[in-house]
Amino acid sequence: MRDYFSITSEKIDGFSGLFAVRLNPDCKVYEGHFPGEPVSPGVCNIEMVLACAEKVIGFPLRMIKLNRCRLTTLITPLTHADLELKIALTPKDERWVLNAEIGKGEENYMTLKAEVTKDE
Amino acid sequence: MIGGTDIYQLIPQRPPIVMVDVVWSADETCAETGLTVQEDNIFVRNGRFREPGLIEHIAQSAAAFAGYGTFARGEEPRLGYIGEIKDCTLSSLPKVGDELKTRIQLMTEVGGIRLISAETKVKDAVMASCQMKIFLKEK
Repeated sequence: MRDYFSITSEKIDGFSGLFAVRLNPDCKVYEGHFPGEPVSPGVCNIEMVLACAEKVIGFPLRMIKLNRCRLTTLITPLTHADLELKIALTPKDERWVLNAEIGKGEENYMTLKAEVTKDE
Repeated sequence: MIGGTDIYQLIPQRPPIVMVDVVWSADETCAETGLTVQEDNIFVRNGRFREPGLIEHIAQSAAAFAGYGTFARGEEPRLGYIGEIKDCTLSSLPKVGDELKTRIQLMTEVGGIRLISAETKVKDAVMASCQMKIFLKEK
């Protein structure tokens, strides 16, 4: 989803990364999710995690398996505009295990564990 | 069968993030839904319907399934949020023009939390399967 977020700062170290991001309240997705009550779609947050993981690893990714994704907090672009993303990639056979978190300070909003490969 | 703009009676989402376009059938424990992947779908990239789109299609299929019940009672569809996705395999990415067929099975429902399992196919090829926990907002 274009214009969903912007990266305000990033720190990449090997196959780990720490990103500060800002959600865009004018993103078109909010026209439909939901009319009059903007709620950041969980799948757009997953897409945001994948985009940051691609920056860490340096190539486009294909998510083969989403082992688990827990969304513990309703995120909206008005109440949670500024977020922190933690990305960690670990090689496993011919794939990578992606562990990610979205939160702010001590608060955690989403955790994700997935298996990804290079997108051909 | 509910399709076209009638689908808006079952789900609270609106364009550009409507990811289910037909409910073929529904009863108390399961539903069959569909989506034809359009070129301008927000989750299409390089002619392929990407992983977040597949997951959102499943989530909205579950919403349409819940909405079928509220519609039958003459009520508005309730807002729903994904709480958890588990064991989601994304075997294949559909192409533009593909017709997705998804089967949603209700496993449990307690206090507005629905646990469903889902499988999405294009013809006989499995695209995705998963379990999902969905929270339905109280009115």
